[in-house]
Amino acid sequence: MKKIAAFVAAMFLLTAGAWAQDGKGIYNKYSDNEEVSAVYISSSMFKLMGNKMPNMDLGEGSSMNLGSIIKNLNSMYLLDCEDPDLCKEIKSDVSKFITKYDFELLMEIKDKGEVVRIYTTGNEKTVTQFIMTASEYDAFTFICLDGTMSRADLEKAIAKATQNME
Amino acid sequence: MKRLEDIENLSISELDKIASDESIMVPARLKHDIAVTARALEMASKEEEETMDTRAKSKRYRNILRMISYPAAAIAIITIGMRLSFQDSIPTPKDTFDDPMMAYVQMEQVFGFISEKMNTGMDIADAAEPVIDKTINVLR
Repeated sequence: MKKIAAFVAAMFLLTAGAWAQDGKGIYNKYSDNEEVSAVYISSSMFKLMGNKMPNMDLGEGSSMNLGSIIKNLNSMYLLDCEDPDLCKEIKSDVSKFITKYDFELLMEIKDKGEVVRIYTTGNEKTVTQFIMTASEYDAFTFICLDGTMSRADLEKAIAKATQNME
Repeated sequence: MKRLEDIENLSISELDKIASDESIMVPARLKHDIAVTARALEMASKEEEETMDTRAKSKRYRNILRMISYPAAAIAIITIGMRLSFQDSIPTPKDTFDDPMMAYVQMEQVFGFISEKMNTGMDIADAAEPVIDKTINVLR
């Protein structure tokens, strides 16, 4: 009987561990922590935004309409942490999530002690998940965009934003 | 020819007398036939033993399979059940913003942040371009 109880407990922990390994799970796990700034935007809100929003300001007087991208998003999770120990824990969960869902590393930037990584999943035409992590010794930012985005539109939006910042 | 009952009714002394009667000829092939029969009996008993062994083994395997398959099925059911119940019970977070305009401003910042970081990467790549060109020229 004890063995059965131990086995059920182990299965429970394993399943609970697996549960934390996606954007929603990671957000739920850390969003209530006082050391973490968290933002969640739902698909309903994205639909409202996509229909009614003006062009997005990208700085230097430039703007573009991101409605087509935003309308197709299901969720956006953002976690920003400045506690080194907690950062380590979030990083570990994010790393498991990235490994589990076979994300492709799109870009890695190492600059002045900061490591930025951008990952996507999907196919040649469509991105179903977009993740960006920015990691420093004592800070960690996790952004997860979930939905069906046209890869071309997403790249165009980011490229345009990049051009406008130059 | 004597019948079985007649033989059974004979006394020991009568049997001895018959046995010692050398006038009765023993069939030439009797020894060979007895040997063949004995060998056939031996083989039959061996085969029976082997069949029993195989049956016992297959019964043992069946028991082992049964012992493994029940817990395996239980593990599968528990895991699937827990996973489903967890998936159902993952609470959907509450929207951080009630106002779509505020959410849009947040998205603006997120895209700006992503662009800023990518821009840093582009700058590093641009700075490395002359070095790459020089290397390519040297290689040519």
